[in-house]
Amino acid sequence: MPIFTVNTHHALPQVIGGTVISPRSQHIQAQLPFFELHLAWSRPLDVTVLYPDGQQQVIPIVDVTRVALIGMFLFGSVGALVLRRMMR
Amino acid sequence: MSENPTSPSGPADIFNLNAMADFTQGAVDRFLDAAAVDAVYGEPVVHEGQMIIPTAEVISVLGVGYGGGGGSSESETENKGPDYGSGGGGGGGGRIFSRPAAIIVADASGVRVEPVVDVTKLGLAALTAFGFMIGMFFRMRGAKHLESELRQLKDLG
Repeated sequence: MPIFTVNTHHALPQVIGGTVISPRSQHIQAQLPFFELHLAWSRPLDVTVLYPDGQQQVIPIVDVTRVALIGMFLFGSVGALVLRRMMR
Repeated sequence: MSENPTSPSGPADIFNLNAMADFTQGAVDRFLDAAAVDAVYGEPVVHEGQMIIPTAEVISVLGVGYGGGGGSSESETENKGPDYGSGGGGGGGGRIFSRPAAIIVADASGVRVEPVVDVTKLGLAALTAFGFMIGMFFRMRGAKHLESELRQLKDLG
């Protein structure tokens, strides 16, 4: 079994009023070598919308909470570095 | 089943480690299935010409360990044959985290994705980061104050 795998899955398409909605998700799986430790992370990726007139649109699904958490972490790290420089 | 169960040739024969590994792999596969694609998108809800599909982020973590061993004493008496001993065990634990990520809304006006903001998680993260920064600030200020006092003492002495 590989240590790290990334797969993209298509969920079952949904139809409403002639519009076909096809969601996609990403499945990331990791297994640490020498340990029986497994990690799986599934997240929604995007939605492909096929309108009755044949027009196609791909809408990405952005996890606002995760983006905000990463932003907060970066802000905290930069803030700590700035504080350290100021106190020297 | 072996013909002579009291004379194992090694731990692998006693515990059948391959069977343990198969069992573990089965448990791991079942556990990881919890974070499969079906868990990411919920059942669509249709109400008054509007379809709502909930989406979630699923993280599953699982750790498993097992082991075994056996041994025998070479001493043999008249009434009693060689002594054999063996033991083995295993254990594991895991957790599945799931939280809503967004909602797909489809209606007559089109399809849009509404984000779900976890205010509690963000609030806790902000408080933790703020507390860490405040603690670091006071720690650095204390160290700087001590350094200046030591410098003054050195100048006086």
